[in-house]
Amino acid sequence: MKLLLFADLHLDAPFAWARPETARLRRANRRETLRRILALAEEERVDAVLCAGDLFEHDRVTPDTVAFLQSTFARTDRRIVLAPGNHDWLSAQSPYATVDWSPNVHIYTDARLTALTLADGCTLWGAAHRAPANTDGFFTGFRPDRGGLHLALAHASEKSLLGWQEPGKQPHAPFEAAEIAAAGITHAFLGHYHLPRDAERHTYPGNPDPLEFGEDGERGAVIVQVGSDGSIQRERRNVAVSEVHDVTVTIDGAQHATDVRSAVSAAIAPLRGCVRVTVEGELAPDASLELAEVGRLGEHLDGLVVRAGAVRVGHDVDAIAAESTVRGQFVRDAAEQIADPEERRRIILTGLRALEGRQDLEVA
Amino acid sequence: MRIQRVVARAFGPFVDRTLELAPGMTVVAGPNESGKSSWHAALRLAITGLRRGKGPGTAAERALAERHRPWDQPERWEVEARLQLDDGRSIDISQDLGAKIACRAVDVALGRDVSDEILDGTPDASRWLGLDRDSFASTVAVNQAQIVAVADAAEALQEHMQRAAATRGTDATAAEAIARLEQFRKDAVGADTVAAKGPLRTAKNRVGAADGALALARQHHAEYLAQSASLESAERAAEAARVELAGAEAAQARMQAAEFAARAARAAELAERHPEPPPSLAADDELAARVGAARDGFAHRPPPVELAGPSAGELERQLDAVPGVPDGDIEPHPSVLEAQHAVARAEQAIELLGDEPPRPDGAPDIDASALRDLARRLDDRSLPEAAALEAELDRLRGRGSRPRPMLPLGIGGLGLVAGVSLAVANLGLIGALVAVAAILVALGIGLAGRRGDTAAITRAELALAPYREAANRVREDRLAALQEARGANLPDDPAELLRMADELAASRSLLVAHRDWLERRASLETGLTSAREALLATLAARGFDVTDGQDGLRATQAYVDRCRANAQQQRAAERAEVLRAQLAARRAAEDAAAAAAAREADIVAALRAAAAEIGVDPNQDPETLDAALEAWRAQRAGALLAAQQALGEWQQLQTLLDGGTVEDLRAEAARRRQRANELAENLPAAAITLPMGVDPEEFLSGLRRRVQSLVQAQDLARGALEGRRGSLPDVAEAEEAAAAAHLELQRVQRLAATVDATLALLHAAQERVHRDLAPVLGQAVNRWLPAVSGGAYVEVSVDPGDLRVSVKEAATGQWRDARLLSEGTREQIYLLLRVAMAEHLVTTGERAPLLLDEVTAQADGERKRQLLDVLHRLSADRQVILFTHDDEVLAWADAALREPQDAVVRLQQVRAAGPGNAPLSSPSEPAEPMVPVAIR
Repeated sequence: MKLLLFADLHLDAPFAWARPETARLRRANRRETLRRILALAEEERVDAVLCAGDLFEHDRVTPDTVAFLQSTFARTDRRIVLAPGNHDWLSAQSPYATVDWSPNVHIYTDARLTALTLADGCTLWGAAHRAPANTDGFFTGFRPDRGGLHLALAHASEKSLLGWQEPGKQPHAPFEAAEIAAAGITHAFLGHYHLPRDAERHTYPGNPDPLEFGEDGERGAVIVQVGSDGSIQRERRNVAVSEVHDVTVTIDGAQHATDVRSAVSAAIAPLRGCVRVTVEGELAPDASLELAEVGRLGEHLDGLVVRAGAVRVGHDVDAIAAESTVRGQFVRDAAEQIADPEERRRIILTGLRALEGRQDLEVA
Repeated sequence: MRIQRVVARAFGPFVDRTLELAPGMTVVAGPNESGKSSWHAALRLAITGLRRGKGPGTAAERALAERHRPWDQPERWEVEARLQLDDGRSIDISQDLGAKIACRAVDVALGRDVSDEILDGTPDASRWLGLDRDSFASTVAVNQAQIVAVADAAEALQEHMQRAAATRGTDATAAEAIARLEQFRKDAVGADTVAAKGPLRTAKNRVGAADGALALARQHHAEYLAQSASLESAERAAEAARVELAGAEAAQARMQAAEFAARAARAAELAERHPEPPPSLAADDELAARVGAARDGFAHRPPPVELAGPSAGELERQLDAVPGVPDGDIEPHPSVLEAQHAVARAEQAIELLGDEPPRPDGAPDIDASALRDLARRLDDRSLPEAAALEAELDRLRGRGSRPRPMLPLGIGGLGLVAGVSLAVANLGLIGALVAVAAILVALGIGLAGRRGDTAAITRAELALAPYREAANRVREDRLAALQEARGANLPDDPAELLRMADELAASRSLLVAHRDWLERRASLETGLTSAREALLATLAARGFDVTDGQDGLRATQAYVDRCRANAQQQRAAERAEVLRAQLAARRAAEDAAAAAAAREADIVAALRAAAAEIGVDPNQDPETLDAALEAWRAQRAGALLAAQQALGEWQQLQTLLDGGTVEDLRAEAARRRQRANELAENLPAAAITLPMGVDPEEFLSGLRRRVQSLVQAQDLARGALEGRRGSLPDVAEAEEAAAAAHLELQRVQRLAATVDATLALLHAAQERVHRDLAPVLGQAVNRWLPAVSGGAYVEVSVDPGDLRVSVKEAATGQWRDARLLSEGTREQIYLLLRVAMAEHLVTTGERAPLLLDEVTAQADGERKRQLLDVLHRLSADRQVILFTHDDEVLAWADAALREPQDAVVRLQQVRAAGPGNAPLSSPSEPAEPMVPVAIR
């Protein structure tokens, strides 16, 4: 039996860093990613497409997205199996409950594992989040009430992975890895963690289209071949539509804003999609780091975010601090009174620029 | 630090030219185009070098290069210098100003590269002074323009001080920086008031609007989800109701199809049975009615009247023999009986009381107190004691023995006892007398006994006299009492009398009963009399005449007898009413019998007439006729029933066919069956049902209304949802807009915080530095002021607030603002302040040289000389290098300067530059020195 697993598509999720047109494009990419997933499912002629939750965002889902999902699932002959997660939790108001889904769509509706027969002797147990939080683990104390091969599909948090997952991740439906075997489950197909992971008895496919800058790992859809003996073979496929890059541009020796712009332009020239540029290095005293201006570069990109990283001041602050001038006193006082290094850097640069008679007094 | 020489390896117009400088004051003089500015720049760049960096460099650096790069070979731009540091080291510093590669500083004595000590990309010897490339020139170099500015503008002096204090003169003053920051804050942040329109308020307004839009978007989104759920619920409810209605309609259609099939079958059966309409039996209905009436009359004919008992005549005779109603009571009236009973009760009471009253047996006719008094009078127990007194008295008189000593006491005591006894025995006075007499006798005997005195005996006798009199009266009374007792037939024994008195007291209750009986008897007898009188009066009241003297009871008996007789007569009289009633009834019965007979005759006649009509012999007896009529009626009823049934079935058939045919009905039944099957198609079997006990049409009507209502609700929900979808804001976009607004606000707030903190720090730094600097400057200028001002001013003061300079006038002692002084004085003070500032700004142990370029150009002869004198005096402490084209200065130098401490260098006009006419020497070739021309 061949399955396609994906999770955490997060349709209609916002992109707070992006311009409106970029954000819309990224959301459109998510939909296109789902099309790619279903096209892959057709190509691979899988027996079922499994989504392990967070297909969309309940609090943001638009009528158009609901219509998109309904029609997209209705267009495929593949069996679609959905396990609602903490972002698309099932309630009476959820599209899962209010939409007249096509017959090929199966949605788990209970907050406990219930059975779906995938094939003779093969049961796919699944569960739904019925609330955005405080969902208990699904595997604790579970035992199948029938024989055969038992698989599971759920949006759940393997506890040992919390430490290396993205910050702020909450342990929804937590479980210990050993509970899967103890529950008599041969393999669990899971969602929630965006970092992909192939464990012995469970699989996290990761988010199929990039959500954040800096995501790495082989994310996407997973083609799963399930043997009659319960053996699992996994093959990851990239289905992402969005291209996201996180680059660092060093501006050491830049004498002016043009140097910075040139460095950034050179760095982003070969890239496509959305790019986040972190500027770091030493900036000449007279140079201005106009991030807003730099952010207007990259017309060829879907989106560009420029941020200041470890930017050092070109001034010889130590030498200035040794002066018996107002400038020296100011630097000394700032160094003594301002504890936060970034704030101190901004204040010193602002003061020095003011003393230099410059107009670019806003320090990035 | 002192500069011993500068070697222009390739600098402006010079190639391998050397400028030797004295340790004190060096005046470099030359006409225009003699290279003074080049040497000035070469000297400065030999010390500081140029900043190494990518790109074309700063505008100032570009201008410097443009002006001072070698004219013939611009790619080579080199200058060298030998410096003598105040720490004793001699340093050769080479600046590769073009490539900025072959730059180094070497300790001449050690031959060691000391570039690292002053490296800032390239070696910068100003660092040994605590300065840098920018501040070196502004600290140690004074040019003509600065002097002119001080001379021309009164505020330039103060501004220069502030600039130097703030940035060592390289940039703005602190006040300018603060003003710039404040303006920047106003432009880039703005106020935070409601009416403000600056970036901060705009950002806040934008955040408020974006948050509001986000909240609204979320609210609309939540409503959209709720409306989606409502629509889904309404659709589900409507669908369920539709299924229920369809099921009910299918069930009804099935029922109707079955009903039509049954109707078709029934119609076929009836049509076969009644191909034609059945005949009518209405023709003999009137005959049947008459037969029925005859039979009914016969059946209800009156029964024959049987007359029994006496006839009416006989009863009339009996009535005439009945007596009249008696006059008077027919039974004893209750009032009479009550009166009779009252008499009987009175007589019975008297009888019960008896004729003899109760009396005590043998009781004397005397009361107990009289008996006791009599007993007292008969008692003489006190007299023997008096006799003893007499006997004793006699013995005293000599007829007795010697008196016994204790005798008087015994007499007294005896008398006393006797007196008391008599008193107790109700002999009061006598008792008292006895007692007194006894005492007196005792006293008299006592006295006589002792003395034998007759007087005493006399007194005793006198004392005894009353007693004796009393004793006589007692005896007389006892005799009288004795007579009374005997007269009354009473014992004379006082004790017996006392016993009788006690008994008599005990029988006093019998006496009371006796008295009561007598009273009771009298009362009863009075009552009896009254009762008897009442009885007679009652009888009279009942109209019964009582014979005079007739006893009440007997009269009553007579009254009772009369009543009994009256009662008997009354009973006889009462029978007359019965007889009259019997008579009336008898007469009525006789009339009824006659009427019944007539009626029966009519009925029988009708019976016979009916019989005749149906063809039966009417002369038969009525019973036979009635049976014949019944047989005729039964036969006709059977025929009629069959006809009615046929008619009913015919009518049913017509109803079933309803103008059509049996085939039409069969076709309709088939159509309905088909319709029912269609309705049931796709419905679950369980849904095809109609509840029991309800009217199907009513039930279906209710279901249809319900479906209609639910469909309307569904349409409303769908319409609301469609409306919501059309205007639903995108939550994600609203979140993004809010995030962007918050980000912008954070930026502006962070900028505000940064600018505010910067301003605060700048204010504080300015205040502190000015406070520290002001006295230093003042002291430094004070040292030279009297000399340079020719004694006009003796003291200088620097305001720590704004570094404003004031001087004290020697003549008047008044303080004057330095801005108001003459131009020459201001120039002098300015130079002094520059020196003081240089001392202040150089934070190492080195002493900075002073580079002056045409600083005397604006001064007249005397002021110029005074200024040069001050500079010369300053050169004792620091190296002073003065560039000038002024012949007066040169003349002064020639006159004032002395080797080897000082030097004068005369420059010749440089030849025109151009390729080929100014070949550069190789760096290894010794440079041609610029030798001082006129030195004394």
